[in-house]
Amino acid sequence: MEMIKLEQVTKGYQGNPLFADVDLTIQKGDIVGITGPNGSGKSVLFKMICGFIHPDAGTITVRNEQLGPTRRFPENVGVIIDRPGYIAHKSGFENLKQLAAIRKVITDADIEQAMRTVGLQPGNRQKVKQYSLGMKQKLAIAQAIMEQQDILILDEAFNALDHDSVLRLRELLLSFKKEGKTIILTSHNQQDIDALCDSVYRINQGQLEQVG
Amino acid sequence: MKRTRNISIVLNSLFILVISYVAWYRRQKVLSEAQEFSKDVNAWDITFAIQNDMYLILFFLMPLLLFLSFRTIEQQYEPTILIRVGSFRNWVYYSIKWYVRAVLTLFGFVLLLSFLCAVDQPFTLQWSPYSQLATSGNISHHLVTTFRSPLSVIFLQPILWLLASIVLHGLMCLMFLLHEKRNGLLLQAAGVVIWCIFSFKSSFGVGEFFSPAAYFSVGAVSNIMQPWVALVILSLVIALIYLSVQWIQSLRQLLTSQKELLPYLVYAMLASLYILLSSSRASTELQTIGDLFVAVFYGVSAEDSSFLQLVSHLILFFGLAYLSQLRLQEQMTAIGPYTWMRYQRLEKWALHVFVREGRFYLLALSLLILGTIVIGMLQGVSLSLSTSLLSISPMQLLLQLFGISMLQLMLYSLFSFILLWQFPDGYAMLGLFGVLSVFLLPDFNRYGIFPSGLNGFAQLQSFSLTHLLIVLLIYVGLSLVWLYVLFQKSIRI
Repeated sequence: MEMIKLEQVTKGYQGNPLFADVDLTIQKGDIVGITGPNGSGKSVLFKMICGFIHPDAGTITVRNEQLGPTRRFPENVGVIIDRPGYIAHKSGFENLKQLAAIRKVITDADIEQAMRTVGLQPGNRQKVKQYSLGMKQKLAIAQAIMEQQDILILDEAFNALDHDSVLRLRELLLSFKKEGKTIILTSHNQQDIDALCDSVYRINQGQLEQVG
Repeated sequence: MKRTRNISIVLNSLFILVISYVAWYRRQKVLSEAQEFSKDVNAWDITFAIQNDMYLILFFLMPLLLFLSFRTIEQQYEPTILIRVGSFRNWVYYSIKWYVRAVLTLFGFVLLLSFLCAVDQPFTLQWSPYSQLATSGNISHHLVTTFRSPLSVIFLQPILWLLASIVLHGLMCLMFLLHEKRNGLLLQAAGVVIWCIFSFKSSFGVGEFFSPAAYFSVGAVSNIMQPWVALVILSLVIALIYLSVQWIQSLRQLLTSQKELLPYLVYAMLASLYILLSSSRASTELQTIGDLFVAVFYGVSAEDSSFLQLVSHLILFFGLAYLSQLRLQEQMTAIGPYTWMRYQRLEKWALHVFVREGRFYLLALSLLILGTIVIGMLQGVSLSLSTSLLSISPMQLLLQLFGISMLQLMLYSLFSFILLWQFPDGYAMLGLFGVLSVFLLPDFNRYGIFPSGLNGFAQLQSFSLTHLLIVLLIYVGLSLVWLYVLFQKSIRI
């Protein structure tokens, strides 16, 4: 089943072409890695799939629903993008609870479970502004997975994590794959890509080239 | 090193030149006025005219004092010094000691010059015939009503200089320790200068009372209170600084942990102070709670504007809009993308945000109104909503107070939202509040078509409630359309 499909997607930024007539299809249960140098457009690609940014041309379809005026954001997608994702003066649990209150599909126990899964203590009343970089990253991951999202879009999810946490996250993502979840991710660490991805695409001169 | 010395020589020369010129100018003015009215002068007339020249104090001495304060703090807030003094408390004492040494040299020069300029006149123990002359520029005439002998003034002036300098620098140090930012320190200094100039130019009692510049002049102080009261006030503030310094470490920790509450606390303090002062200022005219509402929430209009009314609208309503903007910024930039994905539709998310802001405004307005009622009850005014200050019914009063105010505040938030959506870093908000403030200036909003300050009771002198309602609704409608268009585009993240 096709979960994410890009057809003839073109996108430029301030006159510079980032993508030209790009096609990409991601099947259910796949883990797809996107690589490329800094500024090549990895984050822009993810933001287009999330519906934050519109392509200049072409279509993006998620679960057979085309993103556009009637469907701005794809449903039930867990996301980590290059934005903080937390309110600094609230605790980790309070932040997640505020986000969970929007869809109301999970309980406090589910939030606590998600926090434990990524290695955070739900009972910790520490404010997020006092968190280390790694703890903030774990909170972002908990946010992306807590509602059992079946598509995960993870931009640099491994950033700032210690070795053990990286291994734990890899295991977690592989277990999600077994559950049939679809994951698209970027990482500067080739080992993460090699250990996880079924297929790897490199952004090169506005095109997505399959390199693995 | 040589360059620094050269700059220092130039600055010192400039200081001596300016002070000498002003001293000479003041001396000539006193002598020519005395000659014109055929009155004899003595040395004190010239000395006090120089020492109490408010233009010299406001536009030269205050900036200089604040520059010295800024430079002292900037140079001394060094790890090497902090380690040696051992604590923030000791650092404040250390810094004040250095500052007082520097400014006393400066004031010593002013004192010496004021004596030198009067050296050809008799130094008598009595006030001169010129001091009986009631002209606007005659400082001696202001002083003669308060002081029996000129000697009291000449003894009091250095004490005031000393105490006021300690207060000024002590407060600058305390404030600085709470944020520790150079730009913040610059803002502090600029804020004090601007506040002093505004207070002087607008000549309103409350402003003069809180203006640091007034406490550097015996003449200015004796205009607003008994001089001994000024000494007591300055001593009390020094005691307060001393106490605050004892708790500075805890205060810093509290502020760091509860930083997000600080804007709300500052707002609550300013709003309470304003309501208290404005109700007591107008207490003789106030018979009912309706009168009190009109006095407190009068605002400004094109035809009816004053500095205090302008400040009141800026504090009460722009203050609330600013707090709302902080909340909006948090919702948009901190967790925006993660909430939009969950709401699925930006319009649904925006509706949620505005309902929240509406509740916030409703609570804030209710508290402001409740606070005003409590103060009114303490002053013994009747609990009637009718007012003799304006020809409006109680229902119109309530509609303006709640309905139009809510609409105006929501419009401020809509503007903030639109700007933040396009410029998420928040700098554009300064421009927005700047433009909205311009609309509040006298004669600007003559036709009541600019969407700023329309909720003040002053507007009802020129426009009907229906007019204000329609104007605000039109702007709300246009803003919503604009927002809808923005939502169709890519998001700036």
